[in-house]
Amino acid sequence: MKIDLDWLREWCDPQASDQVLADRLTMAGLEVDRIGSGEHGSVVLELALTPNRADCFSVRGVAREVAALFRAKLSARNPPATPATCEARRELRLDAPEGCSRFAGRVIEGLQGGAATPDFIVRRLVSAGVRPLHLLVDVTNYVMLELGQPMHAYDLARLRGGLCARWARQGETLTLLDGAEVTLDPDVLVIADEHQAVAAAGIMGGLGSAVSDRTRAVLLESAFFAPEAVAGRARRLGLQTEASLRFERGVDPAGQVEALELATQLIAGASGARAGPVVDSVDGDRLPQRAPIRLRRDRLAALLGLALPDTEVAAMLRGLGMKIRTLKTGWRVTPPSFRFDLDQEIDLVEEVARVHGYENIPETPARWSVHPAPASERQVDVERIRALLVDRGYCECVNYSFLDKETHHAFHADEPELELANPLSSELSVLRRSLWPGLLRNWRDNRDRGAPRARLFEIGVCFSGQTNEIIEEKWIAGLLSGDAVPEQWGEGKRPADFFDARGDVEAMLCLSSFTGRFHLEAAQHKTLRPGRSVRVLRDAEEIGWLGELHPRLADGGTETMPKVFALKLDAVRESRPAEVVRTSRFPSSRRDLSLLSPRSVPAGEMLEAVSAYGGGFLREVFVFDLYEGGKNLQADTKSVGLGLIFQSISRTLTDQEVDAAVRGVVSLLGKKFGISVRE
Amino acid sequence: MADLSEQLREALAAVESAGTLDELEALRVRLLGRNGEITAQLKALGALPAGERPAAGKAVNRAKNALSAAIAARKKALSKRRLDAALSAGGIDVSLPGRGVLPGAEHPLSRTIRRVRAILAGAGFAARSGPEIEDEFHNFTALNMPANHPARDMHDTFYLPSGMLLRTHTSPVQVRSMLGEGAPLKVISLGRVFRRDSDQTHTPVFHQAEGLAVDEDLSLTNLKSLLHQFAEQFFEREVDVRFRASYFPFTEPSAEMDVRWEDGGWLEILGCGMVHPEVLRFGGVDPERYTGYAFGMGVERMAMLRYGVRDIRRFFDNDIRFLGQFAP
Repeated sequence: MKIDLDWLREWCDPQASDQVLADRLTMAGLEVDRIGSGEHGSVVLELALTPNRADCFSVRGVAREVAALFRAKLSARNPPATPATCEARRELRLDAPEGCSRFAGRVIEGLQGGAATPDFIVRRLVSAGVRPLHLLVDVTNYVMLELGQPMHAYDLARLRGGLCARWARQGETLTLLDGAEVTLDPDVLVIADEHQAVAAAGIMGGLGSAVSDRTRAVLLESAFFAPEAVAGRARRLGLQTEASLRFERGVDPAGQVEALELATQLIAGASGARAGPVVDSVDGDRLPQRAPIRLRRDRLAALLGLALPDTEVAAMLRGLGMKIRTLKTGWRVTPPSFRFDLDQEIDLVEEVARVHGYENIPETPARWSVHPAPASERQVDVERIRALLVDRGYCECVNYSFLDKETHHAFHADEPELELANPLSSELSVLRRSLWPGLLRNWRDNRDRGAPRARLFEIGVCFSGQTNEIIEEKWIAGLLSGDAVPEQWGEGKRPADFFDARGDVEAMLCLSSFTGRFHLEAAQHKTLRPGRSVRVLRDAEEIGWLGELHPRLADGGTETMPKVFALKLDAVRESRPAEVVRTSRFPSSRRDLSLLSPRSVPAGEMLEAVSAYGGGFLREVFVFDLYEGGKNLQADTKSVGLGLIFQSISRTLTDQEVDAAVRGVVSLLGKKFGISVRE
Repeated sequence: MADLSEQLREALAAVESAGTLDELEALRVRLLGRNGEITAQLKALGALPAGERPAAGKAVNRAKNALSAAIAARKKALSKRRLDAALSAGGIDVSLPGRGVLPGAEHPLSRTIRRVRAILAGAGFAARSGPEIEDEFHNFTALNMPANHPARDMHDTFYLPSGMLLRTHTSPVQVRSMLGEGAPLKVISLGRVFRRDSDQTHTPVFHQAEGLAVDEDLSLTNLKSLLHQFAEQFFEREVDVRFRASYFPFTEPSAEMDVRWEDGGWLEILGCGMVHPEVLRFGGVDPERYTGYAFGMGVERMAMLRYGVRDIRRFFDNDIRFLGQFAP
C-alpha cells in the first residue's frame, strides 16, 4: 500500500524524519519497502502489510500506529455530520445479518454532471496509485484510503426500491463493473434491490447500477461485511479488489457513519449537491464485539524473557487504543473495534513486544532439558552415500518433482499419471515416478553444452501407486555416460559400460554392513535394454534396478544410451554394527584355474557354485581374466581365469589338501556347467 | 724409506683420480693385493736389519692404513655417484597430472542443508522429516490457518485430485513431531516444498529448513540468541542482525531476522517467532506449561547469499559447469 506522507502527517506528526519514521514502522511490523515520490513532489511510503493488520489499510490506520510507536498525538479529524438537506432516502435491510450486520447509506441528489474532483483528492489518489475517474468514484476511493472503509456509490435512478444485503440465490447472475458476467454461488453475499443483485457485497459493484457523469442522484453504501462472508469469494470469482482485500481482513465495524459523513462532505463541497438523512441499519447482536482479554504479568515476562515495568506496559497498550483495567496479576485489556487480530493473551504479548521494540529485547542462551541422541550405527548416513558418489566423480542434481505427460508415458507407459489438480503448466503436470527422466534430461542438457561425459545422481522422493492412494518413497538414482575416466595420458580410452555402473552400485551397497543380503539378478525392465539390466534385491525384496537405458528412449535413435541405476534409499541405508570374525594367522595358498566355459554360463553362477562347494578352506574365489570371441576360441566358448585362495583358521594347509580341493572344484564345474580346464 | 712416502703420495693421487669403481678395484689390487706394491714393501721388511725393522714396519703399516682409508672413502664417493647417475636416469616427468577420476560435486542446496543441519545439531536439534504430500490439517489447520484464512492466499498451493496437497512449507513436520514425540522437543526439518509460482525469483519447487524448540521457560530472548549465533556460524563471521516484527499464523510474537550485508543494507534471511499457543494445542502440548519457538528459512536464499548465486533457477539447471564449482 502506498501512503502519502503529508497526508499521514496531517493525522499524526511524530516530529521525526521520513527515514526514522519508515524505520520505526518497519521494525514494528509495518514493513516499508521503499520511500518513493508521488505527485507534485510528495513523499510516498510503500508499505508491505501483513494480512493480520487490516486496520493499517488506511492513512488513519497507519497514523494510529505512528502515534503508538512514537507516543505522539493523533489529530482528531472526525468529519462533522452533514445535516439532511433533502428528504430522499432508501430503506437498507439486513437480510443476512451474519454476513452484513451494519448497512449505512444515504442518498445524495442534485448532482451536476461533470463536477470536477478537487485537486488535492486527485493528487493523493495518484500518489496512492489509484486512477481518478470522476467525482463520485474518486471520493469513495479517497474515503477508503483515508479511513479504511470501502464504499460504493449506486446510481439511484437505476435502483428499484430499497437495498438489502442477502445471500445470492442459486444460479443468480450479475454483470460486474468490469463487464464480466458471473454466476454467483449461494455463499456469496450480494447487495440487491427489489428486483435483482446489484453488487457482489464487499467485492465489486454491478454494471447496471454504476454511476457515471450523467448520474444526478446517488445512493452511497457504507457497510460492514463480516470477513468470513467475504473471504475466499473474490479469489473464486477471479477478482481481488481493494474493497475485498479490506473486508476479508476486517473493516472497523464502528466506522461506517463516519465514512459516510466524510464522503458527503467531500461530494457536497465539490458539487453543491443535497444530502438526505443517514440510514444506519445495525444488528447490534451480530456486530463484532471486542471481548476483554486477560494479560498476565508473569506470562508476558516469561514469553519475552524480560520483565517490563507495569506503567510501561499500560502506556504501550493505551497508546494502541486499548481500554485497560489493572488486575492483581496483570491487566484486563479491551482492544479497539478496528483490531481484528487481537483476541488472545498472546496477541497482546506481541503488541507489547512490537511497541517495546524487538531490538530492546536481550539475547540470552537457553538452558535445555533435551539433548539429541547421537547418530545410529544401524543406519548409513545419507551424507556418507552422497560423499561416496561424489568421490567417485558424480555431480549431484536437483530436479523438480513434476514432469510432462509425454515423458511420463515414455518411462511408465503402463502406470497411471499422478496428475496435479492445478498444475503450473503441462510441462509440470504429473508427479515423477522415477528420477531417471530428470537425469536423462540433465545429461542431454550438459551434452548440448559441450560436456558429453557425465556422472550424475539425484536423491529425492518419487511417487507411486494410484491417484487416490499415492505412495512416496525416497530414491537415489544415478546416470553415467561417456568415457570411463576423463581422457588422460595414463589410462586407455574406453567408454563407460554396465560394469562401471555396477561397480558404483556395489560400492554403495558396501556401505551397509548387510552386504550379504543384497543380490543382483539378471532381469528385464521396461526402460532398460534387454540383456543389460539387473534387478537389485535385498533378501527377496526388489529395491532397485541397474542397467543401460532402452534405445527406445534415445533422442533420434542415434545416441549411445547412458547406464543408470536407482535404489530405494532406506533399503540401502539399513545397517548394523559390524560383527567381527577371527582372522587366520596361517599362510594362505592360491591356485589359478584357466577354464573353457560355454558362453551361456553366467560367471556369477559359476562363482556361487564354487563358493558353495569350496567348504571350510576356500576363503575367496574371483574371476581374474575373461576372454571371449578370439580366433583361438569357438564362438560358443569363453576363457575364464578363476583365482582360488585357500586358508585354514587353525593350521597351515598341505599342498595335498589344496590340490584335492582344486580337483573337486574342477570336477564340479565340469559336471554342473560343462566347463573344462584349458590345456 | 724415502721412496715409501713418494710411493704413498703417488698411490693416494691415483686413488683420488680413479673414475670408476672398477678402476678403483684394480688400483686396490695393484697396491694392496697379495702381490701389490705396498704388500711387497711389507714382505721386504724381513730383509732389513733387526734394528730398523720396527720403525720401518710402523711406517709401511701407516702407509697401508692411509691407503685403505682413502680407497674406502673413494669407493663410497664413487658408489654414491653411480647411484645418483642411475636414479637420475630413472626420473619421470612429475609435471604430468595424476591418474584416475577427480571428485564430482555435492549440489549447493544439499551442501547448504548439510551445513544448516550441522550448525543446529551443534545446538542440540535433531533432524526429522515428513511427507511431501500433505493434508490440509497438517499443512494449514494445525498451523493456525483455518479455511479461508488470508495467509493461505500467500501459499499458492498445488492440489491433487484427492484433495491432498503438496506441502507449501516444512512446518507440518512441526505438528507431526509434537504429536509423535511430545514436549520437550528440539527438532529441525529440512526438505522440499512446493508453491504454485514461477518467475525470476520463484521456482515451483524449493527447499526450506525449519527448527522448533518446545520446553519449559523458552522465551524470545533465547530465540534471538540462538538465531544470532546461527547467522554467525552460517556466514562464518561476526554479523549484525536485527529482528523485525512480522506476521506468521503459526508464531506469535513473530519476527523476521535481517543480516547487515557488506553494502550496509539489511537482508532478510529468516522468519521466526514464539510458537502460537493454538499450534502447541494442535500438537498436543499444553501451552500453559510449555512455550516454544520456531524459525524457518529458504535454503535457496541462504545458498544464494553464501555463494553469490544471483538467479535461483541456476539451482535447477543442473549444469555441471555450475555444480562443479561446489566440489568438496
